[in-house]
Amino acid sequence: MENDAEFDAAADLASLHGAVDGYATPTKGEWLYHLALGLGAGAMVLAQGMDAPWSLILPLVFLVMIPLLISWWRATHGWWVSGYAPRATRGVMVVLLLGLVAAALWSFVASNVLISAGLSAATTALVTILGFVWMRVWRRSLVSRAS
Amino acid sequence: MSGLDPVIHAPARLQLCGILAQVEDAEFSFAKDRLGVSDSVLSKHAKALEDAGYLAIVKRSFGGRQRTWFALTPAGRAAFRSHVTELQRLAAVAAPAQSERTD
Repeated sequence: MENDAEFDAAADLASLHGAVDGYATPTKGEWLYHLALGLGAGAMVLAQGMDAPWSLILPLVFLVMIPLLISWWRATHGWWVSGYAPRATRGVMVVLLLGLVAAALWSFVASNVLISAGLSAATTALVTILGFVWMRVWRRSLVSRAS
Repeated sequence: MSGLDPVIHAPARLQLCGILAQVEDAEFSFAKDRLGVSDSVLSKHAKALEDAGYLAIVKRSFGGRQRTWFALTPAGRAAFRSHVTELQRLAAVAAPAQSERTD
């Protein structure tokens, strides 16, 4: 029994390697999610430099957009992983959140809406790029954990 | 059976836990494709994990179609981690013994 258990242990561990294969390849259209999230975050930053009602409407649109984007991802991928959960990607999330907060604050105190527009464009680029970086770091961590 | 969890030990249930441990949740058909089993076999294994309190089974609607989703519960995640740790321990014990036999 002990020998069987030992033999099975190696085989069982090897079988787990295949379990992560389904997450290894980026799905077609995955970039759309990153771009949409980037545009939403950019709109929220722009809203900080605008007057009412846009300063309220745009963040609300962003808040409504997030669960819709998650539903879209779930429907197209068949799985969902929270951006905050995996340990390997926490550094990426910290950079993203710090960048987002800094851009929103800067936009809020900016004297000109053009500065807010520039910050909005930069935020869109940052969030979109970090979306790809996040996925790459996560997928790499799955492969290294499995090997 | 040492420290191995008998609920997780079956190969299909171990792999299902391995798939779900990486994510928040996964859809029935995604898990079925990864495991290469039939609907009824997957349902049976999912029910066993659910009965043990390791798996939450949720129905969600997408575009008017209802789909089944699986998520490991905190107890399921902890049990899977312990099971894998025990497998690693057993594999480490077995490795030197096997190399001695081949020498």
